[in-house]
Amino acid sequence: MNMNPDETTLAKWLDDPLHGEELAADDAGAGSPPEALAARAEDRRWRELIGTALPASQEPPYPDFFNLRVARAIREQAPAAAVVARRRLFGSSWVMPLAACAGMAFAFWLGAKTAASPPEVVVAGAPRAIPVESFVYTPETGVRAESFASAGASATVIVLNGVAAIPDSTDFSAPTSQQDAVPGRRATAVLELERTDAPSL
Amino acid sequence: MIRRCWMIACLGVALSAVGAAQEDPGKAPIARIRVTVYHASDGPVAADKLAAVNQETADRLRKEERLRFKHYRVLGQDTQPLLRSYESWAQPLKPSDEVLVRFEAQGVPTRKLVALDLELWLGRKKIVKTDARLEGDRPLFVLGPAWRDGRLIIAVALAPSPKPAL
Repeated sequence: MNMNPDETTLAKWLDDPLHGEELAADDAGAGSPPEALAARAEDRRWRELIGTALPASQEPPYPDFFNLRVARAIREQAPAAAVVARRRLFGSSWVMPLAACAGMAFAFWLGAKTAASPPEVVVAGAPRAIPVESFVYTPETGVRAESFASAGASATVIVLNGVAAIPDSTDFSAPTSQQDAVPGRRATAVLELERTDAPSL
Repeated sequence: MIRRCWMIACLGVALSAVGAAQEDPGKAPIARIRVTVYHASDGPVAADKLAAVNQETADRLRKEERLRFKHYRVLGQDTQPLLRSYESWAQPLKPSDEVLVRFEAQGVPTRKLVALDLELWLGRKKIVKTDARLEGDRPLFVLGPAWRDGRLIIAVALAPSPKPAL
């Protein structure tokens, strides 16, 4: 005698369509192990629960339907007071902007604190900046220029040596353009003077 | 009639706006530079129409040994704007162009410091080219050529800005 039930008989046994001798035979065939009986009892309990939640004519569409129902039941049984309190705190119109502003202010403060304290290396005797010497260029041959800062006169002084003396007969009240010796150069100077005279202060 | 006046007014406004848009911003004055030529001598002062410098300037010049003379007289002075993009020329001995100073800005001046590219022209020849840094009360003195028993001193300084007209 084959004591092991086939899969069809086992499914029928779980679904509880067996009655009478067949049920007794299957119970004996399954050996009535405690785990099998517990599974059948669990299956029956779920079947009854579904029967109370759904009309008998409606079939559950798919397994996700059960998960949805279970999740909804859990939400309905959860304490509603905590949810309401949380909604009141974060659902109000001013708490979220206030928190955002406070966060930004904290971020700015933190950035300012970190940027204001750069590591500074102090080297004794080192200059803060490289001094740039002013240049003095004398294109004329034989002319030398000496530039220095005069503390007494509180000024920068350039001393020209080797520059040709102006004849004593030169009269500065007369235009020297009539005595022009370098026409091209004079023309450039006059042109620039005419152009820069235009803007007024 | 009123309509025609309105049209003329609108045309004038439009033309002035176009003119303003075509104004070269590089011609905007950003400072004023004053160039003064002194005649410094140790000899007797000739009875001419040249004016003596004020005592403060004379004392200041005498504090520098290389610029120390008995007499200082003003030969001429010219003040020109320092333009944003263009060079300017000062002609302190007008109408003579024996002494000319060309300058242009090296950068945006501050309230206390102006950096210049500066050239000194004597007798229509470029004699000196330098970069000058003029502070409010710190001019540039150039001890120049000899003339009539003395030397010319060319002073380049910042000129005070004129008060805006109300």
